[in-house]
Amino acid sequence: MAFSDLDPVLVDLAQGYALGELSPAEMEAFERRLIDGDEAARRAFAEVEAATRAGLLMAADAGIASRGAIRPVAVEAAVSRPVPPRSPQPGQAPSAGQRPDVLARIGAVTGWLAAVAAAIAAAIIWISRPTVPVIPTGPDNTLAGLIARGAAELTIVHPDAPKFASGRVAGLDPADFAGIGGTAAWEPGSGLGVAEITGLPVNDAATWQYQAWVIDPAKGSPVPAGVFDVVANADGTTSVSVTFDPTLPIGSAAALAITIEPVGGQLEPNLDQLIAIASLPSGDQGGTP
Amino acid sequence: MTRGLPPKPVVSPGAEPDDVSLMARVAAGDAVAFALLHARYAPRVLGLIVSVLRDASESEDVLQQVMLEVWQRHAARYQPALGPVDGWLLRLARSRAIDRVRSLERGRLTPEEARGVIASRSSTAELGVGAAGQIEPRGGRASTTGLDAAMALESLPDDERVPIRLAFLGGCSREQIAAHVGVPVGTVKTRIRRGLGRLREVITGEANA
Repeated sequence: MAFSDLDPVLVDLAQGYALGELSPAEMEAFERRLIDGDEAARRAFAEVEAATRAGLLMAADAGIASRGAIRPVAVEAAVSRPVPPRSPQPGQAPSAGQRPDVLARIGAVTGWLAAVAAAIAAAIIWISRPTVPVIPTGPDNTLAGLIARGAAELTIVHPDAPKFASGRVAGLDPADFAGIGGTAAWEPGSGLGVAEITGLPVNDAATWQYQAWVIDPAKGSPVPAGVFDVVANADGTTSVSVTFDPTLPIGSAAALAITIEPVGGQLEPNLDQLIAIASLPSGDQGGTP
Repeated sequence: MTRGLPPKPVVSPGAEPDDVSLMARVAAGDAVAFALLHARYAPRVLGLIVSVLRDASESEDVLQQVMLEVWQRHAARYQPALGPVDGWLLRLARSRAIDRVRSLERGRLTPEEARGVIASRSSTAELGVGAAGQIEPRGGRASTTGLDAAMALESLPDDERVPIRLAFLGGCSREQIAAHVGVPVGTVKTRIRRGLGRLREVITGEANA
């Protein structure tokens, strides 16, 4: 479709709509034209929709990255360097503990029932949570503690990953990850996972990080469970204890996984950069209550 | 009539619904569907609002406003003719974020900040990727990602790339872009239109005939 075929006024309107610059009344009026099948409006909208949607997604991802939206996972300091809290950005809100949670305010005023508030708050807390992770309290949430409470002991393996091509991450080679091993456990009742992993190469914290995931077959994609860095021990080896803290309630965890991701992590994993996985045996995949 | 607040949901496990059916359920008052929609899109909606407002506290307030509006009335108006749900939600969010900017009577970008937005590379700092080229975008994905768009944007000529960068990554209105770039608003609109057309070609493979 050539630009000249379209009414420039209508294209301008479509562009304003696609950029979110119309007033609510104008926005509703334009949407009504689209819904009612106004062919000229649809053609004008079609000209800009795909590209503006992509641009909005780009801006959204940029906004997420600027907030450091994916929090660090708990990594024990004894064996690795904890990820320091990110420096507050100009205008960044104080932590959730320092300001009233907006949803909580709404809930208090309007009386939203608890289950809905909890479900939605999970998303809010994820995006507004301070960088220090909140780990479920318990008598002993170490790997040994989970196993003592009956959680399955899982073997961490480095999967054959032919897609993890040399050079995909600068300076790394698939052979660097061949020595990964360790033990993990997942406690269905609490939704808590812990993995003690050896042999992870030290990451370049300026350019990439490890990201933990919980694989839930009922969800469309793996659930992010935090990012972490790895530093070498005095003898040059590495060993980290990672607490998986999924951002959403897990329905039926099937595996814990580690991928390599850009700094700050991603909302969806680079599965072709999957470098460690611990699969749960069937029957131990229960979700959080 | 304005809808009240969601009733208590009955949570049941199962495969997650697609976006369109989720919106239909939200429109019908399904609180579980609303919670799913919120969980699925709130991070990105907030990310977009932050990119416009650049103020986390204000942004979270606008996010709540947007999601409440979706629940109370906008979901009922959604139709596939309005485009994919994510784009529709992001447009609504950007509109409300720009409204908030105006209500705060605050300019968005200083000239220095605008130069920073123009000069930075889409595929690096804003997307948290680190140094350019060290981590490639994911391949084989059916849908366009923000990173795909960022990389496509870099291929545009400056006169198209700059206003689009200011619009999306600087959170500027077209009038503000005109002021930053020093050209008439009509010229900005034309350049954005032309640039979006090229982006569409890159992103969808669909060339303008």
